[in-house]
Amino acid sequence: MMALVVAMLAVANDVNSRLHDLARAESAYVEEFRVGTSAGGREIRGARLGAKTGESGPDDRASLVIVAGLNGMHRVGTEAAIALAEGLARDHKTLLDGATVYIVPCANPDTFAWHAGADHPKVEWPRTIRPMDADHDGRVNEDPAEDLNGDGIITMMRIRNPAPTTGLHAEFMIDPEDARLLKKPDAAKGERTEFALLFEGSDNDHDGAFNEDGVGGAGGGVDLDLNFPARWPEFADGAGRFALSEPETRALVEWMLGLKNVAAVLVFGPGDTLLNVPVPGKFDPSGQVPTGIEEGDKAAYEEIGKLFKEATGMTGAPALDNAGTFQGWAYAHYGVLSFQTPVWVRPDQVKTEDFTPKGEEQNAGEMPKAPAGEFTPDQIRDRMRQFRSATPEEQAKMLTEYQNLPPEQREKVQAVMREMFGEPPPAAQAPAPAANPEQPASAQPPATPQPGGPPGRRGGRRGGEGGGSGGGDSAAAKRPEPAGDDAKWMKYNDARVREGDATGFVEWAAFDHPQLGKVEIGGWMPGFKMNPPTTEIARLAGEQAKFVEALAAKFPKVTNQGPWVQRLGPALWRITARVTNEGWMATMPAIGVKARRAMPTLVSLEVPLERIVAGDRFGRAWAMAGSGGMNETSWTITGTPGEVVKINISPTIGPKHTIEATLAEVSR
Amino acid sequence: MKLSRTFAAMTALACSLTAPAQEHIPAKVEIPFNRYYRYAEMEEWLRKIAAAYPEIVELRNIGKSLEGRDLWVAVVNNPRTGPDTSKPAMWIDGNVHGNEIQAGEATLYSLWYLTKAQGHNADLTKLLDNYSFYFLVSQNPDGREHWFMDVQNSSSSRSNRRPVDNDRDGALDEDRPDDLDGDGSITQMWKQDPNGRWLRDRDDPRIFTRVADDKKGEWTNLGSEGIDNDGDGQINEDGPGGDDMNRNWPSDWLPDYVQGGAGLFPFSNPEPRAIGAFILAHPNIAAVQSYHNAGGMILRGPGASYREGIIPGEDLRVYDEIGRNGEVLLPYYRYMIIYRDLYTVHGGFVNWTAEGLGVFSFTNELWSDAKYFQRDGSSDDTRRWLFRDRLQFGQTFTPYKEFDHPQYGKILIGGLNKWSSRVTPTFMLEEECHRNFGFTMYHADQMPIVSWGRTEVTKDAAPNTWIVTLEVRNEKLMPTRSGLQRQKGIGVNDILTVTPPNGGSVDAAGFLSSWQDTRMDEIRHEPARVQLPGGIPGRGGVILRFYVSGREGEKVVLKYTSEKAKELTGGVVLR
Repeated sequence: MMALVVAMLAVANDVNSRLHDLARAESAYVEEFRVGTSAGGREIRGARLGAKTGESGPDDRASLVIVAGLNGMHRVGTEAAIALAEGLARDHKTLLDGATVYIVPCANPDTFAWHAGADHPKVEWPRTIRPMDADHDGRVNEDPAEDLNGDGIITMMRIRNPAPTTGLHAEFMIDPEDARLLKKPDAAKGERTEFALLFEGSDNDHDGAFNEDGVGGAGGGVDLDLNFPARWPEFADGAGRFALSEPETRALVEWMLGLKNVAAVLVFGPGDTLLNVPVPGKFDPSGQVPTGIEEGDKAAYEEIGKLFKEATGMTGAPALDNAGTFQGWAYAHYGVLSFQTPVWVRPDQVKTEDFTPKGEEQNAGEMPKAPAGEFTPDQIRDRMRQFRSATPEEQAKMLTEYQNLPPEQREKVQAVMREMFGEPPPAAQAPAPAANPEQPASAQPPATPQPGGPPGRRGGRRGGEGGGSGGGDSAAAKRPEPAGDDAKWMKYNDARVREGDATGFVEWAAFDHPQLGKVEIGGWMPGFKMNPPTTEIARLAGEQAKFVEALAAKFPKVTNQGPWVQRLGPALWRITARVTNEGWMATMPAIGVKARRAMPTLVSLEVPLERIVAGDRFGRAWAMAGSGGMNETSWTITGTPGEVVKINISPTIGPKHTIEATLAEVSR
Repeated sequence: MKLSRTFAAMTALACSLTAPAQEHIPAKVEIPFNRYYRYAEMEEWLRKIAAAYPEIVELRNIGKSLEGRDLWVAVVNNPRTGPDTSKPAMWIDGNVHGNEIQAGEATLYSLWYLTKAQGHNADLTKLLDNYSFYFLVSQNPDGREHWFMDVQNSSSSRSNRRPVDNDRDGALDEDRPDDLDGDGSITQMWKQDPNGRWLRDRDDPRIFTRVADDKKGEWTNLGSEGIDNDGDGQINEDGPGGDDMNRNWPSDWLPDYVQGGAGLFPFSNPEPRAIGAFILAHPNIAAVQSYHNAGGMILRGPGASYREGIIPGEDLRVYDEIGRNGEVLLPYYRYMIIYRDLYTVHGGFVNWTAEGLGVFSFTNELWSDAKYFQRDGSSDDTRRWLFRDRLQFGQTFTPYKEFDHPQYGKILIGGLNKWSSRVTPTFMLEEECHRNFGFTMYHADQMPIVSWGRTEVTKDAAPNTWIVTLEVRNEKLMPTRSGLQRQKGIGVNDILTVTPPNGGSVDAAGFLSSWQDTRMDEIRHEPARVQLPGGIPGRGGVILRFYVSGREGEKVVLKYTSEKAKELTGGVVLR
């Protein structure tokens, strides 16, 4: 059987040229911009999506900032961001008439370019590729991970009962549920340690530590998404020498500080804040910078999280520890609502049955029992994804269903599969249920040999690495840790393999290590747990577009009523203007009011100051609540009947407007 | 060998000495230290010193201020004892707050005195043989220049010149204080008011006193001199600048809403960024002094209470010894902890160097009221006025004058001017500079110097095998790596390399806790390249033992490298 799928994601070999093409094709809506230049001299660019015509310019409208590709392994984020830009510009023009979306698809172009290079093995490495001395020994990059067995991939080594001369200690045992996985033994149950686990490589500098200084190893480099100033984890491995020490992170922050009218930020990166609403009301040691969110922003996060679930069907994703992240900075220092999503999660973390099909673009629900009605291509695609992550019994059931379909339906399914995977699955050759059906994932998640974190892998919470000034363990001291939910990943992988897809797990194979003797080399393919097959990108970008639509619909929108003019005396007038937030979000979230970076909504009267008898030169509203929150500003001024006075309204978010008040006898 | 070198140095000194006594070290550049200098004048002095002592002074331009003034680091080093980067160095700067001007003169004085003393004074010459120095007279030349040239008070022009919309009205720096009476200073405005809370002293009309809550006063204080330039009903609410550049550094940096003046992000301003780049490029910096005014303090970190534990006890002992000796050298100065005894600082300069880089750093707050009379006793107002009148002849006071204010009508303007309160009186400046120079040189003299201590070679059991035991010593107070550097993994470890003779090998190595120790704590990897994350402790040593194979009479070559100590080479012969 030919492979159904398909290479892993190919990096857009030129993100910027796709942005450029888009700007040319959709020139009425798309403008390219430059954020900065990477350390390697690559331009970091983005696209501004927003109608160039209209009463206000795109930079004056309420806007969403989307940033992807800070983590050099997270190709799905970059790919989805570009596809999202293309999709929004083509198919969501109405949205872009009223709101603006800034998209920076690749904030770490050097690492992406390095991974795309063919002159080195594949390796899990999200950080910068700059000279490093992670172990403080005065030698730079002297002990990186290596592809010892020459399979073109740097994976892991497991060593059974290492001899004392190796300096290694067994910490793991074979997972009884899956012999490919390792777990920490439970001594109380009589389980024993048997294996040591290392990154693939040698102790090149003979210092007793394996792969502790260089790409693919246990430390060094800068994780760009650990280099932002909000709760920057000083001294932590990968955090950089100081916050914003890297040209990429500094450029992003400076670019953001130059923007006005940012209502929200959405980051595509490992780690999630949409399903995992950050904890409200907890603060850093100064007592002022929130570690999660302000109490006052909880409702907004919960509502927007709901919109996100509706748009994507995601039910689970690893939570983000936001210390030092761009998402954390955008919230806690920049002062806007800020979210992050991995864009793609393992299919068992996507719930589809909650959503009933209604129309062509709707996610498919349960596959109807045979005999079936018409399937939409989307429903079939969805079914294929379900198949991949299903248990063998479920898969057997689904195959039976497939075989029981009328021939024309089967034909249709095959056509979609061809489109998705390039080859139809001859039903006869479809994978049979495994001889030993896997158990459903137990409450105690099984362990695997994959390190829970190659450095800077921001999937879940960093155990012991982040967090304030307590870090500083030497890189050499770090050991690979099982990640926790690898049994589920293995199940997903096996399902994909049964479909004919390339494996995401390199089987353990014996290798005679020059320093350690007999070892086994194997483990997860780099990036496997972060990136789906490329065929998924269009769907994922579509989900995000749906979310962007829903999110933008919640943006604040300041309108004005009045003005009301009252005559108090022959030449004395009271003018009142009312501004109202017709949007759902407050004009400034609670964190924005605290941070005071953005301007309050200002309401001012354009008359010489000496004519203002009462009232402030500027009416200021720091935050106007959503759904009709309002602010009224009154002035008493001198003036002659018939005179026209201008009132300028400058909202925190959204275009400025000017209204006129005529000093007339009666006004209500 | 040590003796002969000292003798040679003394001979050299004797030949070059033309002036008879330490008090009369001749200077090729005579700088009066009974006055203050604008930044351009400071630059001129720097150029003159560099031109007069070209062998040991080099001016390096490390960048520009926001307004384009050059930032010059004067590198002072004796090249005959190695390049500056090969030696432990002390960084000395001042004036990060633009109004704290004597910090600049103290730095200039230190540069001037140290350079003129080279070859004329044995102690300072030796210091300059062992160490190098980096002087930056002003971290904030813009703030300094505007303090001199614009109307100011003693506390204004502290920040840099980045325009900031303090009152959030969309306009930048639109309502500064104004020198309404034309005295060159921003003083106070007073208005007669039957409901006022202040009384004017009948004997000394310069003094206003607040009345008790149940008493009526006659005057109201209207704050600093100025008018409502932007007509918003507030006076002086949006003056020039700025970021507090002593809050713009990356350790424990917190945003503006936690601490006003923090800047947009750490190193957002060009001056801290340029200085930070220089310091990061010079890991040989082992000591830091950053002069401020005022209050008579020798301050150390941490800057915030929750970072109390960050400086390890072994480092605190170093700080304590230097700080307490400083109290002796600097009368009316007290050794204090920033967060505990002054106030909380997030992202300060010495917070970065001390807490972020693990470098032994102090901030001296120059000048204290207590120095007015140089006797113990309270510095009450009466005593201050006596001093201002009899010793400063009223120069720090602008007499009250009537003024017709556009918003307030008839008022009085006057009071203490910008030269009062914080700036050292000029006739006392030289002494203040010199005492602080003495303290920083004492601080510098605690930087580590490594040397070979006792060395023993004994024959081992097998033929051509040897046990080499040696001690690396450091007689100075500071360790080669601070406890903080060791704990947080800052910088490169110290490394001892042992090169065996041709055909030989280093077979094992280990640490001994004392010379009486019989078994070593084995170093299991790379015995010929021993890493010491903790370096060599202050006033102590590290004893190492090596099992070496090699023919009798051949030499084992030793090399000790450290970021903060001069490289040490040596050897032992196997016999």
